[in-house]
Amino acid sequence: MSSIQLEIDSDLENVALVALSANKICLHAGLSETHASMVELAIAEAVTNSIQHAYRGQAGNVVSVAISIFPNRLEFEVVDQGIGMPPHELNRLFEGAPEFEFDLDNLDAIPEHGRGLQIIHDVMNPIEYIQDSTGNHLRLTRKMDPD
Amino acid sequence: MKYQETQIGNILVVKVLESRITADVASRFKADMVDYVKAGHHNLILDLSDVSFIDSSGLGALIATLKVIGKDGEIVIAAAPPTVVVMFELTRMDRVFRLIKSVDEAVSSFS
Repeated sequence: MSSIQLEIDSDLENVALVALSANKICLHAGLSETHASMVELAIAEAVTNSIQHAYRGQAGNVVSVAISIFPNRLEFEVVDQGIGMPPHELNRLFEGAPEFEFDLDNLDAIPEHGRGLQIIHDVMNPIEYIQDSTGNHLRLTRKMDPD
Repeated sequence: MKYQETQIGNILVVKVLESRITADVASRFKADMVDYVKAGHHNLILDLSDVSFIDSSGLGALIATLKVIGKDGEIVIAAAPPTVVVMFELTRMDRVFRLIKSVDEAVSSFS
């Protein structure tokens, strides 16, 4: 197992740095470009969520992302020390969100926000969320490409 | 955000000259797109050939633009690289927007 820990200040401009790093590490570990891009998106959404919701958009806080490569999977742990995810967001993270099965004839009903947790739900499996004295830990696993 | 605009008949082609459309620029991007619509451009082709990454905030901005256009026109996504197409597919946005391989084909699709 090899691993790396990345830390950024909680500024949205920094999200690309960890997302791009995750993408390259996925390629290095053997994921296809498509699957690496999907993981990059999920990590970007998780880190953006920490900045926008846990830290309410305030810079000056730390978001860390640990990435570990195993023979059959990649594990990611996104940690912040901000406000924990409320129950309805956790439900969306673990169960997915039916509102994204939208009706194309009713454009106004298509949600503009809230897709990030759905993306994480669709890309990562399993997902764990742990709150303890060290912060909020979102643990995400991506298995190697099945093909 | 930087763009290159080309008017072809009643179609405005907007090429996004950025590599990432993400949460840090999504508000600006949404405002820019809505400004195009409010200026009377209801047939928009968004050329994403230079874009390598779009997140849920960027997609949300596109949905907001679509709602402003309503039934008066369309916003078509053109020349998106495969990694960006995956992001539309993953979020089922490929059911909302037409994704066309090239700007030329997108222009033809309006006629």
